[in-house]
Amino acid sequence: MGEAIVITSGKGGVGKTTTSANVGTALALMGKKVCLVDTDIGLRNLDVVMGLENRIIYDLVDVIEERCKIHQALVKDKRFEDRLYLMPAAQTADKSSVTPKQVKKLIDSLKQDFDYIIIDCPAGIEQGYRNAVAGADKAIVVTTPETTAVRDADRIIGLLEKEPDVEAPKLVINRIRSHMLKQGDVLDIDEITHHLSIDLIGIVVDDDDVIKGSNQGEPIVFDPNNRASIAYRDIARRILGESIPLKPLEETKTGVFTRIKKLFGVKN
Amino acid sequence: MGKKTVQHVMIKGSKQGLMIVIDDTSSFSEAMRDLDEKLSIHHQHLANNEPASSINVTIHTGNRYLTDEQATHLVELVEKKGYMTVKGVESNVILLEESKRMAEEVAVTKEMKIVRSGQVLEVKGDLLLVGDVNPGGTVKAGGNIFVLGTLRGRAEAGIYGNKDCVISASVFKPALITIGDILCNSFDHHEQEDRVMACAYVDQTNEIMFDRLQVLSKVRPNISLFEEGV
Repeated sequence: MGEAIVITSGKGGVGKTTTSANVGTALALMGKKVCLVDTDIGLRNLDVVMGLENRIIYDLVDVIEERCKIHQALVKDKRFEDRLYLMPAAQTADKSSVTPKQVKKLIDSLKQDFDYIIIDCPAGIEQGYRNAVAGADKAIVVTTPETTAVRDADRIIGLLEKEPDVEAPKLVINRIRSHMLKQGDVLDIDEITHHLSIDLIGIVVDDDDVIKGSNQGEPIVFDPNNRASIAYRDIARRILGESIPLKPLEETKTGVFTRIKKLFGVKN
Repeated sequence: MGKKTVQHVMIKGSKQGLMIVIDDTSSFSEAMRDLDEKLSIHHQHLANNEPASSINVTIHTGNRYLTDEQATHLVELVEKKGYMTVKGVESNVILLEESKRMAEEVAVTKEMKIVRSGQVLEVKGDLLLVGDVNPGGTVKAGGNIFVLGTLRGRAEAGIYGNKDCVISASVFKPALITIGDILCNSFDHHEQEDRVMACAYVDQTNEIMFDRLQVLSKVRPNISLFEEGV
């Protein structure tokens, strides 16, 4: 019996889909059997980020309306033998075409075959959100160091706390720009965690390669050296129960020159 | 009918003025009839020596509960004679509902939680919140509001109109506060020094004032409900 984790945020554009793709892939890289479920019906993206767009035959709405079996709709990721699948959302329907009860039933049956079900939630707090949360056991709230995103995260946490079947949500702070953080132009991590007062499960730096990877259908997490990739892998390991300290953000590009300067004790 | 009738209604004089006492064991209709009779006699009596002004009376119903309808009927009956004004209708009893409501209004509700964006926490009496009120969150109380934490959202004290209520918080950075019907939302966050252990109350000029927590014992000495218990 696996567990279902919903990735949500309230606000759009903070990186729910990117986080879903990368955390899911990271879990698969660690040998777990993972199913990614896109509940953003009508505005599906997870398939694009995963590079599986062209392989969709059936989708979530087809399964719920019993036009096909669950296994027919699951898209297998060939980069993994048999460990990573995607349940794509329908593009031709909208959020109201499924009910929370139906989604819960689907997630419950997926839990029989997978270790982890990662549910990508749409933005907003309406029907789409309720559908996504219905089958979840755990929740991860994604935010960025922007006041608007933190406000919406707060709202979502309030709603998640009302869900009797969902454990206390965990926080991912995404798209951290260390130079802005240093200058105090954005909210710092302590401020955000104090404000939201939920457990932090990971911080991810803003990295151009993340966007590049999403566009190419190759989640960044495949790259073992990228900073964002390492952060996503750490989140996956924390989900598995390992305790890994948060990595400091300062060390950006330590070029040869900076290292020499450091050696001689020259300060910037 | 030789049988001596019970006194359904008595009219007495007291230090506070004239009082009509209605016996709580007699039926309402009987009492009303009796009252009408008595007042009419008085009326005839008074007609001879016209009173200078109308007399203030209080009606006491003893251990009888009057419905609103009965009460207005009673007042009408007394006032219709033209020489009495009813100051008030008193009774020893109130409804259980009302007593519960009164108890709730003086009770202190303790909550340990974070009031997040979009959430509303409303209590009838005083509110003691151990936790924060985040931006977009609202706390409302019929009485005072005490926040052991950071107040960044809205706080509405005295929502039934009591302007003597206060709002206090460990860190006082509200978006908006109201006390009774007085509202204050001109919080300039750049100007605002860190208000720590602060409170807000309404002063004599009907304006919301901010001060240190310690000032409360002077401006609202009656707040100390904790010691007395309810």
